[in-house]
Amino acid sequence: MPFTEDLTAFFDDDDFAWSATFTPTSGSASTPQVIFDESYAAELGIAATNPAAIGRASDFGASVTVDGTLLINGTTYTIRERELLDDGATVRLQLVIAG
Amino acid sequence: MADHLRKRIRAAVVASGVLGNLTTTETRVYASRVADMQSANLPGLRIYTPEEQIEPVSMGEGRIRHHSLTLIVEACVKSNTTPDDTVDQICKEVQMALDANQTLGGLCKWIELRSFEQQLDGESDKTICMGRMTFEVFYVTAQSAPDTPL
Repeated sequence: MPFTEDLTAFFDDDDFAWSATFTPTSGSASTPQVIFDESYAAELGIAATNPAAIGRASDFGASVTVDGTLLINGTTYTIRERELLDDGATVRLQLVIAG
Repeated sequence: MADHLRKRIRAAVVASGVLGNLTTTETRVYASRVADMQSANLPGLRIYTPEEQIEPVSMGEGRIRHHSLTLIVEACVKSNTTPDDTVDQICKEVQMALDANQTLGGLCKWIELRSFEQQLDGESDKTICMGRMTFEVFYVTAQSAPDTPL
């Protein structure tokens, strides 16, 4: 009997998740919950941050996510990459500051 | 006794009359920098003199030495808007400045661009682009006088 996983607890915005606004390249905007990280990075000796978000794969369709935007806590990011994680139930979105 | 010629050459390169005040990088020029470049340092230049080949060309006391110093100039840019074009613009300004100051005020005989390498990184809030120009700086000294250009 297959196990149907409920990811709600992992994306609770009362805990570690943020409520974001996702604008895909086509279709309507939505407000999924994501886990957002913005760690320090210094590739090539140039200081930067590495913004990334993890969300449900079902919230970020494969064909409409890359080049879409994600608004998190007042900052709009362009989605550069969409990477499936583990069994494909979640995705990691590599972000860049828009503009 | 003056400073070693390598130090004097490095100081001359970052001076305002050479690379110290170019159009794109302005005064954001750093010699032998090991700390990360912050936003206030960009777009900027990093200057290094990591190695040198020395060859004696005469014999005996006071013999003459030919020095081939590697001068690295790194153009550092962080931008989502054609950072590679900005790096190329910086390279143009650097090359023109060094071509116009071939002897660095008499410290060396000539400076020649030997290679260029570009690196890009997209796993950051904005695209990072670094262009590394490697120059050869040729200077001449005599034994016991590493601070005096001949």
